[in-house]
Amino acid sequence: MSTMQEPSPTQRSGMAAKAEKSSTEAPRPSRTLWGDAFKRLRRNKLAVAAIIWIVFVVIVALTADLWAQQLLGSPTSSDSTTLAQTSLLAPNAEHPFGTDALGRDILVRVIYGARVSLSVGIMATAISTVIGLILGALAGFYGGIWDTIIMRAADIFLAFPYVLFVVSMIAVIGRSLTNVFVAIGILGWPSIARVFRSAILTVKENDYVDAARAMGASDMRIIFRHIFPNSVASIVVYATMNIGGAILTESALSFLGMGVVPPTPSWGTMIQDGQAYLTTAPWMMIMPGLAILSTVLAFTLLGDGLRDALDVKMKDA
Amino acid sequence: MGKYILKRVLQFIPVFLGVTLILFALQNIVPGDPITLIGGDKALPPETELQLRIKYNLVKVDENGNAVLDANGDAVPTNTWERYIGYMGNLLKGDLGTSYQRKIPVTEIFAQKYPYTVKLALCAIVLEAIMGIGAGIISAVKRYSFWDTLVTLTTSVLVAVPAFWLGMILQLVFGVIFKVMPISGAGGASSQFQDWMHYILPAITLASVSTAYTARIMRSQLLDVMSQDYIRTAKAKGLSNRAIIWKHALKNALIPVVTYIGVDFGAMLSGAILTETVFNWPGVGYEIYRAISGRDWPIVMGGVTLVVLVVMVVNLLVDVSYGFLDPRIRFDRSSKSN
Amino acid sequence: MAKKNSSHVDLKTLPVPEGQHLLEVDDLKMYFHTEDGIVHAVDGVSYTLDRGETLGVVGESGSGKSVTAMTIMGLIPMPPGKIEGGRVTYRGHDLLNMSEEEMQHVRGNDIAMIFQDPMTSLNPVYKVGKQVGEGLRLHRGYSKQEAHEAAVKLLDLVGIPEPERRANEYPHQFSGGMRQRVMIAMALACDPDILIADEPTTALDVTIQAQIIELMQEMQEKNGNAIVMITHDLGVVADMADKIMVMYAGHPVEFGTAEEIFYESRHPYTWGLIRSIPEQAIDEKKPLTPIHGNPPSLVNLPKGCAFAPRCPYAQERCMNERPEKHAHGDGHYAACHFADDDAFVAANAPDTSRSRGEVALGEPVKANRSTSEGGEA
Repeated sequence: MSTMQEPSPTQRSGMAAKAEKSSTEAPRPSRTLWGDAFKRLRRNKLAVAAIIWIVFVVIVALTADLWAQQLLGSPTSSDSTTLAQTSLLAPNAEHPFGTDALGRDILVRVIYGARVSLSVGIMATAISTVIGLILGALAGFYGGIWDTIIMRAADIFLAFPYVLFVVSMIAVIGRSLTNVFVAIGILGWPSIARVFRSAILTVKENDYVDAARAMGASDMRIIFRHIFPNSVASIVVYATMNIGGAILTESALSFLGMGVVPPTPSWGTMIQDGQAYLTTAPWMMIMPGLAILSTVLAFTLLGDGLRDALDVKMKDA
Repeated sequence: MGKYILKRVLQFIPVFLGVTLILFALQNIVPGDPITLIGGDKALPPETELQLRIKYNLVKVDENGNAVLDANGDAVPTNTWERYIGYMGNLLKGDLGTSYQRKIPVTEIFAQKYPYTVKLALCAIVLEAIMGIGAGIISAVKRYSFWDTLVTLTTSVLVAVPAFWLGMILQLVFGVIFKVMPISGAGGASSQFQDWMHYILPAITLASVSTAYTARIMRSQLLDVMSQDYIRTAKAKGLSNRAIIWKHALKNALIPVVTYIGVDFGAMLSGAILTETVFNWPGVGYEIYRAISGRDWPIVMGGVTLVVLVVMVVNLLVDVSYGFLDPRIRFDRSSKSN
Repeated sequence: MAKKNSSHVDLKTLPVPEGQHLLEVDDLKMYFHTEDGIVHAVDGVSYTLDRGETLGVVGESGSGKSVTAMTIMGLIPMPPGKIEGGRVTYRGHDLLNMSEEEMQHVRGNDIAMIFQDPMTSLNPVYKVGKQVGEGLRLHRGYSKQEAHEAAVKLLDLVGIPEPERRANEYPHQFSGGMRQRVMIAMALACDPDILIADEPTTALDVTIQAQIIELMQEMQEKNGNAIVMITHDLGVVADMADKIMVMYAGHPVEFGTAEEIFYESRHPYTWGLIRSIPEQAIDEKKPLTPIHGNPPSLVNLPKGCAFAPRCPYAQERCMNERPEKHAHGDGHYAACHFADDDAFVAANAPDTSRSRGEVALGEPVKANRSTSEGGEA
């Protein structure tokens, strides 16, 4: 299963020419860039819908403690005395998404599951982005031996089948929310590093970088003042899409029993729980699946919208 | 061309070493002492334990295969470097260790499982190629039409769907509601369905995400090619649009798509862990999944190693075949920079 | 797909109707309907062409010179393009109203085209011989073998050494100049009446440029075809063109024989082009005079003369009133309000211009045209 990472080393060779062009082409004054981009983004209905959905999910997840439990009951604990009456109920007025085998409301579990998915998506992406930016900057800016070592390391990481790699990593460091996003985050750096590296290589060609250097600007200053602003667009696009990919990976891990530890609700775990009740209570797996689908789709569409709005050239997949 | 192949092979070597290093590292920090995992709750007799430690390369041995003892009569543990050498030696011999629980070589277990996974992946690849390329072509040729929109939306959704969930939805619809497809296992005497029917739903599930990507790549490649100057040349020659698409555009656009699909075969072997778990498919992925829950690390690591190595070799072959497909590389006299 | 035994009549075997020219373009208008508005890419282009003749179409990028050619070939995607008026007849047949299938018989067979960038205009995954012979298989129903043999001969004809071997090579194995030769071989394969060359030398080295132009002229002598040579460089067509059309912002601003354009030009834009030919500046130790400013947006053309904002002689009238075409004898016209003003022309035309009188080249020259518009030879 390929998630959001770049397809493979082979892809790179095939589309080498394009990849080199993948960053923002002509550097433009950043204010106009973001202003224009915002205008274009607002015209993209799918992207606007995606933003609305993401904001909605984030608000629901953040404020869940204030209202969800009062309305729908606890997402984790169940009352064994009333189990016979409350378990495996089909969706109804009281439980809009139905209940699971332990009589817990599925809606409230989906809501709390959003916390896991969003935090994994955002934290893992943050980790990948930071590592990717640092390594990409070293490789792109200093070139030479740095470039060789870092890009070979990226090849090695990308040679691993992604899901299997994360699975073996979790097997080693153990199951927990932190470990899940650390594992996904650490393994996600190569794509960001490559994007930033090629952005740097493109920007480095520009005369104003030479000019800045001639005027005695330090490397750090050149990276932060001249190169970074010009590559931000492509990084933002990649990071946005990466969040969706990380959420998918987390759900896969949880489904395999390598994600967060029960009873903490996670969408992937809920789907796995539902597998046993596929014939009798299909809503157990349908609802969390729809939650994953809609959230990941929203991040993908937002990423697509940002890509078009910011005019970032990138490869498919 | 020769240079191109040589370069690819040379690039393969450091990646191979790096990958094995990471696999070794993972294997060595797996929690829990393997000896206790093998013994379960019972304490093993010291003699057996020492034999096991020798077998797992945890203590130093002399030429005769006996443990080297220190002044206190205890076995001397091997250091990390020695264990890596041992690990690489075993790997190159094709020895991936022995299952803790089933006590048989990991390679033996996977020898039975691999054919199932490969057959499933092949079915999925065929599906991916036909559906993905077809949809991509339609989408590009009828750009901005209803079909293009349909393909674009479908691929966006497919990319966002967790494949294992899609598999369960297929089980629900075709297995539970309509009861027309088997939802578990790979067939055999006990199944009420023909063997080949067991492949349908898992193959669709396994192919879903890749098909979406293939369609997208095909579409963008074809659109890209259609805007090239040589397409205008072909049109100026008097070729019909149909001939231009099928003769001039497609061949160019397909080269990267075919390589993508080739690489994807490797990705499918890995993605199979989810699909096989959903469908109880007796392949490598399901075996790894069961070993994870049973904490049978040699199977997990052996399985991962096998898949990773196969994927790497497949990618290398795809890279090399790319050179054959594209005359710009096949007949390149100067070395092509990457 | 190619219909080998098509009942289609090969247009180039038909005679040109009495009183008509091989190719007649009459008041052609091609607009593009885009999100930002209507782009007036070609606005009222007219010319005629006969076998053996060479027409030079000169103008800056965006002046509509390529779009005119592509429109004639039916290569403009519609939409966004739309023909808003005018006629194009080839041997008396209306090209603009032909079906796509009929046009396919014209393209490559009767009218062929070569393009600016030979590096990208050949398909990278097919052998050169196959690409050269493709037109013959399509239009003449040659077998693979026949097409290959013909391709080898064509490659030999355009001066490619070892044509048998080279025919089996791929485009990336050829140099830029050699690729342009291949393009010419490909275009001439079916012995077309008209060869349209869109900036065929722009992407090439200067030394190669001359060779390619010579080759085109040589081929023209052999085959008797007409050539439409599109270029931004007046110098390129100086020696080869019989007639020259100068275009600006979609409009033809001056049209005449090569003699008339070079020596009796009456439009300030043409003067600007002449002044910016480098060789001349070096020869005569005159400074190169660039035309200042940029061509106008084709969406919002100025109300008056399109060139007025950049014209050093522009007056109030030029800003408000679109100039008519002022004829100066058979075929020569200039779209400038002051084209009839001999004093204005004499004062401002470049030194080469005979319109200026005896001063310029130090030799007295008659002011009237020396060649008539090239009729059928």
